[in-house]
Amino acid sequence: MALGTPAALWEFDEVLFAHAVAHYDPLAHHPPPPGYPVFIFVAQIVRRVAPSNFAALVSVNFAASAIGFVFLALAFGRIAGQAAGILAALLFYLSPSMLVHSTLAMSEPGAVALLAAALYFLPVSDSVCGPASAGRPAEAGPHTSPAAFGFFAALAVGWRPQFAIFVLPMLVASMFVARTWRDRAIALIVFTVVCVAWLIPLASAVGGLERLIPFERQQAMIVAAHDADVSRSGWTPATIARTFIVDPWGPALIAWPVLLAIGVGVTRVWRDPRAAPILIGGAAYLAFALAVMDPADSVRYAIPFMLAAALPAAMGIAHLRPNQTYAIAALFGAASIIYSSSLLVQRSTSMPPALMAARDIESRTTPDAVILYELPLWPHATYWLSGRRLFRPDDGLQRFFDSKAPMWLYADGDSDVSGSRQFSWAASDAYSALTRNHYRVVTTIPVPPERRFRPLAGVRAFEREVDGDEWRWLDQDAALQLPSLGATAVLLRLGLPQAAPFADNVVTVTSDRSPLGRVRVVRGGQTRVTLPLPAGASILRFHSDRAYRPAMVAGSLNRDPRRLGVRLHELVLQP
Amino acid sequence: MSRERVAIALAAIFILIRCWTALPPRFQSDEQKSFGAALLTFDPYGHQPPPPSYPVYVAAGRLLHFFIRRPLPTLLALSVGSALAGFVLFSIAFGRLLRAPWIGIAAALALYVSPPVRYLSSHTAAEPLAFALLAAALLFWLRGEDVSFAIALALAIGVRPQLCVAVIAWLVTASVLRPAWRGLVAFVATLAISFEPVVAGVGIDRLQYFVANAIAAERLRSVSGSLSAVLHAFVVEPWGMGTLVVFAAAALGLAGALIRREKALFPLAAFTVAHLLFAVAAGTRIESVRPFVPALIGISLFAAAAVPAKWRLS
Repeated sequence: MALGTPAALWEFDEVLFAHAVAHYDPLAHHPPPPGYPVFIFVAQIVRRVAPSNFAALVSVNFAASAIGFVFLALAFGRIAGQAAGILAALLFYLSPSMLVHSTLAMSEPGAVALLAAALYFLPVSDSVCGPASAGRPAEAGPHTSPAAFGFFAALAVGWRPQFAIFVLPMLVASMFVARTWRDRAIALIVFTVVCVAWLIPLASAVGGLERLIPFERQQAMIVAAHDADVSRSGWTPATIARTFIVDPWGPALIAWPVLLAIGVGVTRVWRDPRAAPILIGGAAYLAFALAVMDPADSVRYAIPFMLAAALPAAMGIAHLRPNQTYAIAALFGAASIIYSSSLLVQRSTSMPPALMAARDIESRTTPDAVILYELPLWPHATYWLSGRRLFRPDDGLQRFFDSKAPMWLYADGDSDVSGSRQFSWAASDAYSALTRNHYRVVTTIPVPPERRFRPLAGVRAFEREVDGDEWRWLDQDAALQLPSLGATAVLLRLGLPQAAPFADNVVTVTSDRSPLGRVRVVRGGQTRVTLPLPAGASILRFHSDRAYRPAMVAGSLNRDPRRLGVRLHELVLQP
Repeated sequence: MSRERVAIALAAIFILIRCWTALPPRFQSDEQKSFGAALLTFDPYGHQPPPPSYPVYVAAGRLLHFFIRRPLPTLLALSVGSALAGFVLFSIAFGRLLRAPWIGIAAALALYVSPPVRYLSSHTAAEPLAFALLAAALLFWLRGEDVSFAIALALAIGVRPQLCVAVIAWLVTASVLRPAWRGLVAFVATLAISFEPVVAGVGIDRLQYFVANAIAAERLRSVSGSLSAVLHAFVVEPWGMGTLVVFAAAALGLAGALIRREKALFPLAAFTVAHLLFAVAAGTRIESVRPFVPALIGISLFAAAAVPAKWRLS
């Protein structure tokens, strides 16, 4: 874990959590919804002795992962035996997903530790099953405690509210296997009281209970519209299942043996009532993840499911190879490290590209420079470049397209624009499979006046590939306003992607004064053309002969509902 | 601790010092740089590392890189550590094969102090790890652990795929002497697992083109130098002017082993002969004696086997 500790903030949510440690403001998405009140509360306490927000968050997670390992080994050891319990904890914490996420400034490690603690105190008798208990009343094991179970389960939800998807079914299942009605009542009461205890500060931070509900409802609607719909563009159910179930365990060579062990283990554990709450929680979480969650984040979102799956995996291995459990754990750990070492080493020995790019902007721009940031870099820009003139690209262009003020784009991905500076980590399978594949390459791109324009209508937001291809989609009819530079010509680069449903498209370009020309663009290609501009022209209009909505294309997996004509890759005014 | 163990430890320290003093401050070639880059981005199709992709070598490097964190020290530590392990294992294995521990230590020492092996042991190269795995395989075979023996041999191919012809000759000979189907299954399975990342990295659809391209490039490299010059270097470089004497002793030792029907030596004899033939037929000329170096394992052993039995101190 120490070797995998990151050097600085890196992912989107990490930076928002760092913002929140400085000032807890859920309405400003500091932290992101749904609020994470317990996590931020603990991090703020640690921040009093930690040198930075980042150090506070990472310290919390470092300690949480160590504690979580112990609780998980003990909790699973109660069900599967000591060796299998330790093996299960090793399989979980040495998995590629946890090697990457256990020391990030994210909420998962702490929530996992609290969940592991809850499982440890699960109020179910150790002798509730098996021949030894036949004819005897169920007895409490030495560590069962309904109060502690309810307490830690509620804290896990308060730490990371998404864990409710696991915890609530687990809680319901635990009611069926609890020893006595008294245990059930205590667990439920403690759970409710602790949930209310963390809910009050969250409600207070968003302005009261009456505003908390719309706040959370709005987030749920975003999840429904984005995570459960648009973000699944191009994904088949099979690939979604693979990305949530297989990928978190690493490449096929590592993952399939683990899945095989899970299969064997399930046949051995599913009748054990002590395991029922864990398996039911894990299954419910997986079902929800497959139906609703963003596949791009699958490896991180799969963590609760992996925790539940580690138990049958360990039991399967212990059944198949009872004398080699630790050797198998060592082999699994080595394979996992080999797979993810590229990402882990770069992350812990060098500053993230996003931070390097922010420092580059700091060092080579004057305070009056306009800094445009792409959406994935919004938290980073507001954290590392606070005090500068920060804008979303279209907002900045609306205001400063005709200004002489220097303008820079802080971009998530590469660019071939002259004067750009690229900051990157080396590519690896692990980076693309275990992360959202953002921030590996971050570029600072100058936006000189001749490359600026004001989007008026039908000009979509910037999009970019990590390899430097960048564009804006134009609607069938689009218009933009040019700056008053006295340009005599405009260079345009228009393109159509390979996935377009028509072989070519013809775009008619007109200015507010006269037609400028027609440009034919073929599928999979780009057309570069220079068109003369009449004196004083300030508006450019584009009309594409054809347009399509990707979501409406028959047989397409794309869920993008926008109407798209052509891509505008480049616009440069010429004197 | 026995006197043999003390001698092995002292010799290992000697080898360590020799390697340590020869460590380079930076990568010495584009190929070595490509191995360093492969620790971060394993891209066999983009020739990072160069074909035949050395998947187990890169995997071992990545495991070590997680702890050492810089590519050059990682790969140098892998070479030096493997050389030490290989020396120790060969010392023990040779001693058992010849039933003469001191001769075994001397043969292993002769192997590791030879300039080509010393050079590879102190630079970014796959051979030291492959040698260590071959030594482990030999020891496993002598202990009757056929599955571990086969796995170690397959891993050696994964470390340096150019060893495949010689290693298969070794495995076939060993299997004839002592059939072990479980070992053969383990060998095939380990090979498949070792090369899966290469197949995945290249892609099934591009695999045929990749392999054909790599073979064509190797052919080009193998004919771009003079075989006679390479052979001349091979009879001079390993032990200087004494090389021919060692070769003659090895020939004598091999002949004696065949005459005496010392079957335990047959697999390594098959490995050595097969590798020499493979290196002559397909070895890359521009790498000078490097393609022949694995044959020095057998040559060292058989030269030691030429020592008359009455002189072998036990």
